[in-house]
Parts: sequence; C-alpha cells; structure tokens
Amino acid sequence: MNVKAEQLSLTYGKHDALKQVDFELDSNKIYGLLGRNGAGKTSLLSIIASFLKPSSGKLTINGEVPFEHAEIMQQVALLYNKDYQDETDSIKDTLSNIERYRPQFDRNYADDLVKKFKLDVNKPINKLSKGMQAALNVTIGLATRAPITIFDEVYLGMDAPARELFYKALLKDQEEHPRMVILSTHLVSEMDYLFDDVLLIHEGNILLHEGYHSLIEKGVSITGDVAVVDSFVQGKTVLRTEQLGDTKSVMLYGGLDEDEEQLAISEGLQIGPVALQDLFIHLTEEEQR
Amino acid sequence: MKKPLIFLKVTKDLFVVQLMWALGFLGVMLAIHTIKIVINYTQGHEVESYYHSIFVANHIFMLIIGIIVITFLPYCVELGVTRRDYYKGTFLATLGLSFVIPTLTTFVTKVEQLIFRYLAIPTKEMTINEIILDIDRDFIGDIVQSAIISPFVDPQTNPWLAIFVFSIHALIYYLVGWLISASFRHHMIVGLLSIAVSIILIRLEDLLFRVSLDLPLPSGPLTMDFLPSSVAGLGIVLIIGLLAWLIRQLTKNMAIKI
Repeated sequence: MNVKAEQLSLTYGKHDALKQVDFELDSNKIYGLLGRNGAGKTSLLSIIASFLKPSSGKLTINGEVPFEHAEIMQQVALLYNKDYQDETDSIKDTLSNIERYRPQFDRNYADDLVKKFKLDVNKPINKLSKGMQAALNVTIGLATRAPITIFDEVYLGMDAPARELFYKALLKDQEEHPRMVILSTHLVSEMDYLFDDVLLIHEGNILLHEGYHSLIEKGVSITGDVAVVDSFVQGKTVLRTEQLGDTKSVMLYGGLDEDEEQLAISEGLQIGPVALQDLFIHLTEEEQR
Repeated sequence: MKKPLIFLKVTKDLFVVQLMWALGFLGVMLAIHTIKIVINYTQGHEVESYYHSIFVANHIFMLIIGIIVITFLPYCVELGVTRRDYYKGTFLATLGLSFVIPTLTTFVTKVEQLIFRYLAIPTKEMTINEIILDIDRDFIGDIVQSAIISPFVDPQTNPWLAIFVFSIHALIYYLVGWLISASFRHHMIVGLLSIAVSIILIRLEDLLFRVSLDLPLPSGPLTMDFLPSSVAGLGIVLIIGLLAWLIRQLTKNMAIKI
C-alpha cells in the first residue's frame, strides 16, 4: 500500500489543523505518529480513513483518492477511543457485524484475542469498563487485518499488562500478516520499540519523517566540563542544556560523524544516546519557542 | 470478479433493525388498541379499527426512526462503507419498511374485522378526511392537521390503495426525519431551515394527496383543486424525489468527527 499526501490542508473555521502537509508511506511497516495535543494527528488519520475530506491538497492511497472510493475504504481501518455509552450490542454480535463488512476479518483470531483480554463476549459493550472497551477496539483493529490499520490513541484506557499483551500481539501479527500500521500515541517511551518509522507532527506540519533507528542516532547527549562542552557544541543544534556545578550536559540533534566522536572522546566528553521521548519533547518545544 | 454489493448488506441490516423496532411499536399499539376495544365495548360504544389507530401514530414513529438513522452513517464509514452505499442501503430499507408496516397493519385490521363481525361488535365509521372541513383553520392548525389527519383511504373499501397511501405517508415522514437530523449535523441554522422546509413539503403532500384521491379539500389559497389528479400524483413523486435529493446532498461529504 502507498499513502501519499501532497500539500494536504484541513481547516476548521479559522483554525488550520493541517498546513500543506507532504509525506509518503509506502511499506508494510509500523509507523509511529507522534505529536502533542492538537498537533493534527487525528485530523490527518481521519483523512486517511475517509472520515473527513481535506480542505485542499490531495491524499491518495495506491494513487486513488480514498474518500468515497468503495474498494479503498474497505482497505483502511481506523480505531479510536470510541464512546460506547449507547452501544447495547454484545461483543459477539459486534464482531459478527464487522465480519460481514470487512473482507480480511479473521474471526478465529478475534475470538482468540477476546479470550486473551478476558472479555465477556455476551456482555453489552456499554457495560464494559473503559479498559475493556479499549481492549475490544484493539481486538477489532488487529483482527480486521486491513492493509492500512490505524490506531489513534486507542490503548489509553488499557492497564499496563493489557497494553503489553497488545504490543506483543501486534508485533507477532504484523510479522505473520504484514501490513501498514499507524500508531498515534502519547506513550512514546513505552511504544518506541514498535516503530519502524516515525512521523512527528507539530502545529499542523510534519516536522520529520524518518526511520526509528536513524532518528535515534541523530540524538546525542554530550556530558563533560562546561567549557569543553560549550566549545564542542558550537554550531550544532542544541535541544536541551543542563548544568550542575562545572558539569554540563547537552542534548544535540543532528548526530556526530566519526571525527566528531573521536574528538569528543579525546577531550574527555561522554557521549550517550537520547530516547525518542526526549527528542519528541524537545523537538516540539524547540518549535514553540 | 464480481464486486460485492455492499449497499445490499446495509439494506438488509437496516431493514432488519428497523423492522424489529416497528414490530415493537405495532405490538405495543395492538396492546393499547385491544384495551381500548374492551373498554369501549363494555361501555356500549362503537370501536375503531387497528388501521385507524396505527395510521396516525405511525407518522410519529417513522419521523423518529428517520431522525435516528443518521447515527448509522458513522457506523457504516467506520466499517469502510461509503456514504453512497449507506444512502442507497438506507433508502431501500426505508422503502421496504414503508411497505411492510401498512401491509401488516392492514392484515391485522382484516383479522380484527372478522372477529368484530363474528362477535357482532359495532365499529366506528372512519370520517378522518372530513374533519378538515370542520376545523377553524389557521397556519398552525394546518400544520397540526397535516401531521395528524393525513389523507386517508379506508382498507375496507380498497385495501391495496389504503396500503399504498399509508406507505407513501410513512415514507415521507421517514425522509423528513432523516432530512432534519442530517441538516442538524451540518449546522443548527441548516437544521432549523430543514424543519421549515419539511413542514411546507408535508403540507403540500397533504393537499396533493387530497386532489389525487378526490378527497374533501380545505378552502383557502392553497387548495390546488384546479390540478388534475395525475399532476397531483406527479407532485407527490417530486416531493419524495426532492427529499431524497436533499438528504443525499447533506450526507455525501458528511464529516465523521472523532
């Protein structure tokens, strides 16, 4: 599957939710879509799933505009924190309904996940706890096996063991049935190992789209004597600075080449990695300044 | 490879769901109607038919389920169904429901008439079409009249025409409910405007039916008694077409907010 956005914009009244966004997703990878509240994540995902029509620009899936395209819409599933307070159907009936509409839906796999999450199949969905409803959402998302599967913060109500169960199931199922998965999340530190690629969205713009490992390599922490650190980081992109007495720690973005690494070591500086969550926090902060 | 007709799945699902609601409604009305018969009979009064009881209440029932049906749009889109398929499926389900309710009602009424005859229970003459001549008329009165005492054909005289007229009323009230709820999803002003449009269209349908069925017409500037029956019939078809077109325009790009 190929998802391509060209100059994609979405406007709500005077608010620009997406501002002429360009990007392309073209593999059966797990994409992490990161962004702060109101960054435009849900707007972007809603356009991919044909929930919304863009205000301008173009989004295509396999070269076709997905909005009202019957074949393409069948290939995309968007799961989100749905309000189930009026949903009186049982899990069993809900899964049967989905099975009728989703061509790749695997009912046996859905039943297996329902057992793993210990969901009561005969209970009306509105009587389930928020965590159970979230577990149902991830069950539907995984078992639908849509070639483009999108989870928009769907796991928020789940407790830690249930989330862990979901992460494992996702990785296993992705390996056995490769497809494009887009995970939108705030739980960056917990989920970063799932991502093959990362898209960072901020204030309606795509800040970066990069492979997880190459992005992580771009973040470097340099720690050492204040004067030496200051001299070393000159001309580099500094995301964060912390100082305690004569020791200074600086978070850099852009990575170090081999010569720079050797220089840092020879000057007694400590080089360390930076977690994706730290990069996320400081890259989006940087933009706000 | 033949493409699966997704809209037919929507048709089936919506028809079944709404039919269950309709059976519940008809069942409750039958219970109320039976109690009324017992009370009237024991007090020595004439009793009215089941058809008569359902004919008026069904307008409200169809209006309400028409309003509710917009909630199936997000459900369908979440399942990867296009708005076009939702629209086609819902419209076909509505056609089916609009035919089934009057048919069931007429069938129950026929059975009821046999029982009345067997037990020699006196039945009330249906004079609903003449009521308009006695009403002190004004604008609000006209609206209420259109909603309550729509042009009526007695199933005892012509059951097929009675079913047809009842079906058209049911269809129009359902479409009006659907139009209003779709309009409010766009904007409150559009919603309020749709209520005004609906009132006008129902009033117009009422008058056109009276002309086409040669029923008593109210006096006033909007009597339309100059129209031939065939033109009046065409007018009713156009009203249905206009409602259907407006609903499609309102739903074809409708945003699903999450």
